[in-house]
Parts: sequence; C-alpha cells; structure tokens
Amino acid sequence: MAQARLGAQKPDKIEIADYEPIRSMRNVPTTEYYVPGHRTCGGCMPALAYRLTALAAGPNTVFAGPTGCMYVANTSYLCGPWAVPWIHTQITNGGAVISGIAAAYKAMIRKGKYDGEYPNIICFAGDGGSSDIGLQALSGAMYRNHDLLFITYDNEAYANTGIQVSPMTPYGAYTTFTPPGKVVPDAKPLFPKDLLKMVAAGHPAVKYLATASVSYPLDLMNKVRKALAVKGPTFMHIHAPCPKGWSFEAHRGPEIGKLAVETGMWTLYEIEDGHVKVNVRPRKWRPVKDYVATQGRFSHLTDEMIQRLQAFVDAKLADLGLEAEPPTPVPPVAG
Amino acid sequence: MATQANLIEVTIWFRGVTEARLARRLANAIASAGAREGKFVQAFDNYADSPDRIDVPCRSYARLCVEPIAEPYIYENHSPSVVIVTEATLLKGCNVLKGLEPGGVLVVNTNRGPEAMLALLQDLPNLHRLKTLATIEVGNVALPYVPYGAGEGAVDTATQLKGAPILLGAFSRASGVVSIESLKAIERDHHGLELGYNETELLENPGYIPEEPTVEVLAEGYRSKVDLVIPAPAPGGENEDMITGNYRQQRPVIDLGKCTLCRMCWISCPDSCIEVPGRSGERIAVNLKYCKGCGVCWSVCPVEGAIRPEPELNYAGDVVRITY
Repeated sequence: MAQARLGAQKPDKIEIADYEPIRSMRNVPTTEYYVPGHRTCGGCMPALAYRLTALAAGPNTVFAGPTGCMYVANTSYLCGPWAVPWIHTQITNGGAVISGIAAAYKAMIRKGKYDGEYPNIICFAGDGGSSDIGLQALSGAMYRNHDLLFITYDNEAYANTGIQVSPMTPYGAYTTFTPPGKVVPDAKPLFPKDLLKMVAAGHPAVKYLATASVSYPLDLMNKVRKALAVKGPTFMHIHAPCPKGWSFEAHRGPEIGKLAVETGMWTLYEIEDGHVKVNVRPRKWRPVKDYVATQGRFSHLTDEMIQRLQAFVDAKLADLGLEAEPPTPVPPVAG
Repeated sequence: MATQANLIEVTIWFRGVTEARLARRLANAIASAGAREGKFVQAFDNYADSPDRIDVPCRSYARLCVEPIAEPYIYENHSPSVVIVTEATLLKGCNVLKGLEPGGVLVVNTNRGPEAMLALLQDLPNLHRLKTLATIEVGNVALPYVPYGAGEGAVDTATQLKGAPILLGAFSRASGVVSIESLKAIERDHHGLELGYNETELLENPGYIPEEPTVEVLAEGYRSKVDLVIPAPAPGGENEDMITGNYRQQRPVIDLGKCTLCRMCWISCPDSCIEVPGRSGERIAVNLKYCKGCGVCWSVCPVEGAIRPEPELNYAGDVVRITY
C-alpha cells in the first residue's frame, strides 16, 4: 500500500505551532499582499494561486520566485505586485535560495541581530522549476531540515517561454515541443512524474505535504497556513490551470480546476506525519473524457488514447486507496 | 520622424495570444505584398511585448522601403505611418497613435463606425497628425473564444483567418501602401480582400492639421529609470507601474440587487479586482483600473445575472490609458 510506504521512515514526530484556520469565506483576510497590477494572462490561475497563498501567509512572509511565468509576468517593466519581500532566483536554485534565507534568519535570530519574528519563507516555483530543472535544489531544501515551505504551482508546462513540455505535462497533451503528428499521434507519449510522492518518499525531514487546487480556495489557504505552522520543511503542490497553455477560454479556469478533481486527474490530499488524508472525494468519479473535452491541448486525442489516460488515472486513484474507501459527498467548492 | 526618409512603418496592435496569429499574418502579408512591388521589407513582432499573455496589448510590425532599409535591427516602429488595430477596445487603453507620422492612417476593426472611434482618440497628443481614419467590421476576432491551440505558433481560429484578408483590403484602400493586386497575389481569399477594400468606411481629416502645432511631448511610459531599489506596493495597495485595465474587452457589471455577497467572485479573481465590503467600500465593486475582463467572476457567480459581462466600448471612461 502506498500509504504505508509514504513517510514510514520518518523518525521524529510532527511539530505544529498554533495557527488560525480559515473556516468560512467571511474569515478570509482581506488585506492583499499580492496586489493588482501584474502582466499575467487574463484568467491566469497561477496568479490566483499566488494571491491566495499570499492572503493566507500574511505580512511576515518572504517569497522566492524561480524563473517562470510567476517571475517574468509579475516583474515585467521593473515593477512587482508583492507587498512583502520577494527575491528572484534562477529556475534551478529556488530551493537553495530559500534554504539560504532560512539559515540566515535562524543565524541572525540566534546572534540577536534580528529581533523580529521568524518569517514565513516560501518558494513559489513552477512545475519546471521544481520537478525538472529545479529538482536538485528542491530535494536539497527538503533534506536539510530548514523551516520553510516549497510550493509548486503546476500549470503542467513551461508556459513562460511559450508552452514547452515539462515532466508534469499530462499524457496526450499538445505543447510546442510535443505536437501531434504521424509518428507520435498522441502528442506527449510519456506519463507525468508524481512530484509529491517523490518528495514524500525520499525526504525524512518533511512532515507535511499537501496538494491543493485554485478551485478550492479555502482548502488551499488552510493548507498553506498549516504548512507554515509545521516546524521544518513542508511541500505543497498546487494545480493551477493555464488558459494559454491548455487552450481554454480565459474565464473557465476555476471550472476546469474543479473538473480535474472530479475526474481524478488531480487529487486533493495531504500527508501529515506519514498519514494520507484525502480531502475531496467525489461521490462518483467523472470520466476523464469530460476533462479532456474542455481543453484544446487534448483536441487531437482518439478514444483509445483517452482510454489510456483513464487507465493511468484509475491506477493513480487506486494507489491512493480511493477506490476502497466508502464514497462521501463532495464538499462545496468554496468551502 | 522615421529613421529613413522613404521608410514606411506599419504597426499592428492586437490582443496577446488570442489574436497573435492574425497580427503576424497581417504583417507578413503586407511585407510580402510590398516585396512583390519591388520594395525592401521587414516583418517582425515587438520584442518588448513577448512573451505575449492572453489579452495583453501587443504590437506586430511591417516595414517597407524603396531603398535598402538602413536600420534593420531597430526592433520597434517608433514612427508608424499606418496603424492597424485588430480590436476596437485597444483604442481605449493604449496610445495607438504614439509616434504617428504626419498624415498617418488608422485602420480599426469595429462595427461602430469611424466617428465612434474618433471619440476614443480625443485625448491622444498625435490626433492632429491623423489624416485618415478607416473602420471595417471583420467581426469579433477575439471573442467568442474558441480553442486557439496552445501557445505561440499554434493553430488559429477560422474567424481570424477569414478576418485577415478583410483587414488587408481595408488597409490597402485607406493607406495605398500596397495595392490590392499585390495583396491578391499573397492572399487567396480575393473575395475577403475586395470586401475589405470596398466596405471600408473612411473618415478623412478627423483632426488633421497639416502644420505641426506643437512639439509632441512623449507621455511617460513604464518606469524609464533603472533603480537599484524598486519600491514595493503597500499591503492592500496597487502596483501602479503595471496598470492592466487595458486588457479589458468586456467589463463585469454587478447587479447589487441580486448579489448575495457570497464573495465567490472576490476569492476567484486572479487580479484582486473585486472589492468586498470591509475592504474599501460599503458595497461590492470592481476595480476597473486593473480588471482584465477575463470573465472568471461572472463564470463563478452562483446567482444568475448578478454579474454580467458588458462590452467595454459601451462605457466612456474608467480605463487608464497606457502610453507605452
């Protein structure tokens, strides 16, 4: 069983500081730290993920932004939308830079050179900057037991440079590096990495990991707060639909994010001290075909290819033990 | 002034991603038609606009010259003679006449006619240089959205591909930079070319003054000085150096009678443009200075008709003009 394996090697108990969960929409803080004024696409869901993360994290936060849309689009023309400190890192070394920031704050506080509270240190990396080019730095940060949060906002491609394939791109998706043709009619022939499992399985210092989706904003913000309250390195993987990269109408981002969860293309769960807890379990899984139909990047797929994708999703859900559990009602989207 | 006496610069303003292929097609066709007439030509995208984002105002360029182009590596058209605008709301949020040569031509895709377009240009410093304002209805090339394929260089919509010859015909009629015959050798859709050529509504001398009345003062664009320390916006504030209201083609209009204050639109807006009670005002409101008109708010709204999209051109103000 996957659950038994995940985190089985972890020696220490999880240590969680007090934090204030957001119980309803009325509880959501209204002071923005990721303010209006960024050159992202109309309907950009990674930008929404950033905004929700910043809302949940609050004022005492330091962001590191490895190269990607959430660096380039946000900082176009020498300005930025952050009301908290933010630093650009290379796409390879987001984990290394936040490790340095965490170590510096720790040392400064120990030496009495900084009398403020230890901040929330968050790396906001894209899927390329964490599952591909930035993997070694991510692994290093997760291994060294710094107190920080590494967030992967996953739009399933290198979107900033014009939609090139990444290891998180799903099977069958069109990107400019994987156009469907006579030789490879299914566009991307490979299945994506499972980044959360990689981090969970090989990093004993990590006590809290979670997936989230922009379509479930309260769930996302509570996970950010919890991850920040946990002592030590934590990891979050946020699903963020990309209208440009996935070819859908700009207003449909939240709907498509929700559909991903309802079809099993994305699952919302957290691993706390090695225990897997699934947060959203639909009464009945919708077929992957429904999800595929909403996006231009899958428009070339045949029934056989969709079946292959469905089989992959079924196996992934079975691995999380989602078939065996008794079905429960879907919570409302906004909580 | 143009860098070279005989250089004709053509600038095409378009919406990022959704109209990118249309704009490139126009630039390439104009350059190709010019080449058939024996001119030296160039066609390229504006470097500073890339990578383009959905609905962000972008420019594509063509250059034609009877002699070799002296400065082929200047990657911006600083003084266009002809400006083509693929979508009329761009006139509201952008300084489309920036650097316009005296006697310049503006071609706009709209169904509202040239007078309505002229009304949108009144505050622009170069209006007195505009000799001809042409409008043609191609249809809405950006809306309604249809899958346009992923990313740069991907497949395009049928509407856009049909739109290109119509706009080219209008361009030829209004500017005479290339002849309709040369365009017919490039574009297969001769019917579309002729439709554009014949149906264009022309408004001559809309604000044109042959004598230059004043020296144009270039409006301040985005931050022009490189500072070592960039001031951050205040918490709950705005990033004044990147005003995004000029993305907008449709604006959300809230029916306060139907709104239940559930805050779904607020929590789902990627641009933090919905203001809820307790943040800055008594009622729910839209920050139109930054709203990109992406439509997430009206698609997540659980109450039928509480937020509805309205065409941006139905409203006179509320857009801060970006001068870049």
